[in-house]
Amino acid sequence: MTDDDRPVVLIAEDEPSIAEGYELWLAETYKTRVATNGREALDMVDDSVDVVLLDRMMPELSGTQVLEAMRARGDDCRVAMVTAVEPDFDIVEMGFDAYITKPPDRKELLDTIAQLVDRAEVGEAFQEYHSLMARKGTLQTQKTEAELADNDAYQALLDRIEAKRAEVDDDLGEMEAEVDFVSAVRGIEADDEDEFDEDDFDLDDLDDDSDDGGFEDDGVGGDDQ
Amino acid sequence: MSDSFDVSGVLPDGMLDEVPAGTNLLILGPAMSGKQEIALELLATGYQYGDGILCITTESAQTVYEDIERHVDSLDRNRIGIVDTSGRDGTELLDATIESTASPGDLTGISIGMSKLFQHFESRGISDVRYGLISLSTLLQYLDSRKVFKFIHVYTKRIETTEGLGIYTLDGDSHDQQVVNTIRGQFDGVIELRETDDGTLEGRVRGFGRRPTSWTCEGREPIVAERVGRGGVWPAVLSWRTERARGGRGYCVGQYPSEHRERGYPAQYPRARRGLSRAVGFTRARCLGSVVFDLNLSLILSDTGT
Repeated sequence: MTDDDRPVVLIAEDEPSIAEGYELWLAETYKTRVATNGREALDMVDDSVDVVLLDRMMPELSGTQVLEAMRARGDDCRVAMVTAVEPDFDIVEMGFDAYITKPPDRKELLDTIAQLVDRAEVGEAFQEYHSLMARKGTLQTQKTEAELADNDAYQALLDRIEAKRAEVDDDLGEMEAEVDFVSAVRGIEADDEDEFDEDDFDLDDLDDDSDDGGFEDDGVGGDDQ
Repeated sequence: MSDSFDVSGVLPDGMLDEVPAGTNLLILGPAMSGKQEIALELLATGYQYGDGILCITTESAQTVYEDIERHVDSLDRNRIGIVDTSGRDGTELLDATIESTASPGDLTGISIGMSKLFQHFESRGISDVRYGLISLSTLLQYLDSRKVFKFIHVYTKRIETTEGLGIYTLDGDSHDQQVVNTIRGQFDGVIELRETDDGTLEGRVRGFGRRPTSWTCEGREPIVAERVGRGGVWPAVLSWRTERARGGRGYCVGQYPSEHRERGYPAQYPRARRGLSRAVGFTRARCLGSVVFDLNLSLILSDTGT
């Protein structure tokens, strides 16, 4: 990965020393930008930003106001709120994807950002997982269970499904906290635009993995009924 | 938190008596095969053990509430939560905690409602929660099937992680077979229902890492009812096992119409046919009760509005 591929984190924090601290922690893995108040943060959010680290209490616009404005204009980048008080459920309803209690420790901050970046990038793996499952579903309509059980290509497909599911689950992260669950679902809803471009994905994907062999439009080869 | 959920008594003995915590179970069958009734029974079975019921419905909360109420002795508002996605007003039920979304297509709204109700349960020390999502078919009418697939993945994962029990219904005949297969692959187990050529309703259980059970109609004495609802009269099969039906709760108040009385039926509906008492649970319904093996003996109950 070149430096240019590094995910971008926008730090919105009015206290310069704290913002600098975050930058130091994040610099190794991410490109960082700093906004020193809410209005500036709103101006700096664009498609190139992957995660916003948003302080709850800021001059000009508060963190919640910034988020509200972002969601209203259709920005769906991931937003972690940094808050001094233990947040209530409103945080989830407002559309935050995570929260970090102030002052954060280094590990907590890095883990949270890493999880949000992964979750933001789950789209492609999710699409692939769906395509593999859809392929399995198609084969099940074409072949009997006995035929599929004996078919090596089908068994290889099942292995790939398992691997892809593990990848998706890893990207999504834990679902134990409500904020993570709601954030993951919001991500699915926001994923509209990608859907159409990847219509043909399943065939491409199967073609570039010749080990599986046998999968073409007509299903499992050489096993005619 | 228990490490398993007792689901015995809903299906014939031995078919499915207990499932591990974190299980997601699909009920798949054509229209009128009794999917929803089985789903509600699976949800309600845990109520006696102190489990919470959290049901996402594409009908109104009122309808689900009444349906669940038929299966439990008395509902405690702290142990039942409903996410009403019908988008209709009038969800002022006293005895259930209700969250609402504007439409079944509002997945974020559904997840927020579900999380809120989960917290509500948690704050009251209810750790074993049975989740219903009735129905996936309606979600598929509102959303692209890929989106529904992804939602189910996240949703089932949530239930797995929080060690709940997830119950889902899907009408297998209303969607493309490939879509149905793709979706059913996301569950730990599937209760499959079908109707044979002679009208017998059968069921079997697949998944759970076991061989499928054989098709059976054992214990299956469905009651057929006509339910008057939106879009006119539509039929529903109300019971898998009549002996589980709760009679004597004031529902069994129908009277045979005069033409039946002329044929020798008693004026009052007999309590002994307990299964049928449930059919009368539809306060808005005109019930056409019959045992499916004997459709010609359809008994018509007029609704007395009770």
